[in-house]
Amino acid sequence: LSTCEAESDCQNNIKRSCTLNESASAKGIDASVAAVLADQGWIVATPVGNSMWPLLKRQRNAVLIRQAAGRLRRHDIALFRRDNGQLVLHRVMEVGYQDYACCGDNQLTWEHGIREDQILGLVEGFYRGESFISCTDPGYQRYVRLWCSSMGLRRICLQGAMVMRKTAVILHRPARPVEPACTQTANPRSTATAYLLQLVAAVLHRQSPPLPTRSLDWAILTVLVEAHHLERLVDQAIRSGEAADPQFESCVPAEARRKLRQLANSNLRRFIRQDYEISRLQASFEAQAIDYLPLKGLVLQYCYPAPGLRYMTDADILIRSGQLERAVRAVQALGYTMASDSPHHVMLHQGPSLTLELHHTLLSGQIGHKLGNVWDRAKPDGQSNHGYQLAPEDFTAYLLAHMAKHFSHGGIGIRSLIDIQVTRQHFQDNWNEQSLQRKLQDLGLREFSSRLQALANDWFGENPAFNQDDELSQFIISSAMIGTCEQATLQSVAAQGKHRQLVQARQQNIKQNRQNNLLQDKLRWCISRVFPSTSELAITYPWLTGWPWLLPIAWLARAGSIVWQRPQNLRLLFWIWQIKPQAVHRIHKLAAQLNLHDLDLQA
Amino acid sequence: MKIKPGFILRQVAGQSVVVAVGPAAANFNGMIYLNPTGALLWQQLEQGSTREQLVESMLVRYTVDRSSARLDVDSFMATIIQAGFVEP
Repeated sequence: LSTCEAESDCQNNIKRSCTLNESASAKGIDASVAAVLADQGWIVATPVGNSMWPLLKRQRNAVLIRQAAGRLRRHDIALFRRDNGQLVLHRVMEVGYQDYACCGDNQLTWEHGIREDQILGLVEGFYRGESFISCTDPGYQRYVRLWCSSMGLRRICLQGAMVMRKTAVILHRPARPVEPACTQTANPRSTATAYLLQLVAAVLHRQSPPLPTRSLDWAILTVLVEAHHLERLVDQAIRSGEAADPQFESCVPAEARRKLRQLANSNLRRFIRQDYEISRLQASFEAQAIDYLPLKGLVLQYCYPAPGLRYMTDADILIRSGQLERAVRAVQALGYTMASDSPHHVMLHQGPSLTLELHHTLLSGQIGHKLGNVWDRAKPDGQSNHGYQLAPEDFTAYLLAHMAKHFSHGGIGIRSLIDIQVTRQHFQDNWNEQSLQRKLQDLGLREFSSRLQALANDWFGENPAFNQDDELSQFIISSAMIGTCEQATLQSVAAQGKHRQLVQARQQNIKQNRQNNLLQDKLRWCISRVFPSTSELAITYPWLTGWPWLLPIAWLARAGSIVWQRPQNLRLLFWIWQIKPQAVHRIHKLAAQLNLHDLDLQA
Repeated sequence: MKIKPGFILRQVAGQSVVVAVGPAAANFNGMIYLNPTGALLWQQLEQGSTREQLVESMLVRYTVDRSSARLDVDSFMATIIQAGFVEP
């Protein structure tokens, strides 16, 4: 009669961790090992997995395992049985009161909660060729100390490699134009991207998606879905396909379906929490007579076929400058904590579910000046006393200016194209097209707007074509939702140089000049990242405004926080040297085509 | 009995979904899907209802005999009590 199906992130995390470790665990040691170990007290076995590399190489280094007796010590190598029956050979990283935390030498994630009753054996030594090396060997002990103490450094390297593999390899893999599905030579990434666009288009048109082809690589599709945060849209499309055609379900591999549903559920949960928080905020603003004007995702989600289909990272609300202090106090009274105070917005957090940006200006710089005071043209939302909505032309212009900022600082993804398409469909009866075009022309966004609109129409219009072989399409598909770190770095390096001079140098084909400029740009970028300016750091460390002479302390604090919290970002300092002049050239060429070079984008 | 504070029921894309918000989210990061009957009982429990009141609400909404309704209410209650979603 009633179903009550609970899905826990915690459980999913455990499952995910097991799946990851499965591939790297000691698969070669099968279940019979446990029986032999219990019978004769010791066994020699050869692991198949790579999780203990570089100590143990797969199928090469045999290990001598003795039955465990008593508590293990830190850095012992334990053979234990997971609750799913799998046998694993990993190093003890932490000895708890009643359990252990273990991790392979070639892994980053500690597996917590290994109980005493799961421990079967303890590695006494291993073979290197014909030589037996005991775990009491001084050389081995030195290796253990060195390897375990360098965990942080290895984390940086391995996480960097994983992120690169996940995003750069799949997203940046060169794609060829989509070939007919019946041919076997179609590029897997192109096929997956084309089908992803088809799924999104089906939801936007409230239709059932076509059946996927047999050659579709669901792993690539899942990575693209996750990178562009289209989880709910794709889940909706698949549900619709399954409801319309019984064959559909059999075309989607169970593992991909499970993963996509899990991602969609996670986003749905996030949306409900955000929606709840927004209701609280609105009630608080109403109670304190503070005028508020929802921006970006808060408006866009209602342009989609159903609320919650669009992934929203943070909530943006415009507040009148004179009411900002009161608004911040009202939000803090709801349990939000201040995160940063930048020139045009105050950022506050409420747990993991919502980051709130209270804007007092929409755009700064020249483009913000041209947009003027949007409050003059805003209208009451008709549902509350203090809620307002932007004029449709202002909303669209602001949306495009914001996209242009992201485009120039990391990229924009497929979601932005969907935003453009649904915004036009939602507002086109209410806006003055000529007025909008004049505004876009004035802001310098006409070319950018028309190119993106054409592409959005190409992908999600009445007769979609799903073309993806031009440079703009490639840039958007490889950019993830709001750009990748690599793309942002590349664009930042490109921005270090004087754009016009570089373009001129390229046009004259002065290769040496270009190389030298790029080298200088890379160095300048590295210096700017390691030693940011006072104004840049004051956003994170507001005390710098009062004591600017403490800048070196802020540099150290920032470096420490990156190493501790975002070590993967350090890889960019190494990745940057791989940037080739051609890549920078492509960025400049695209920016020139979209007329973005001259824009003063500080939104 | 009443649903603990911090659990909210929402209708999204035709589905009834319950998530934890605020401090409750620290202990429950999952999501509960309810069918229409589950959603009806949950809404009643948000206001604080006894077992008999839940049974009555089912008899009003659905064509079902009292004993079947009691069985279904008991089954639902057992599930959500075990999951720790209600307070006495």
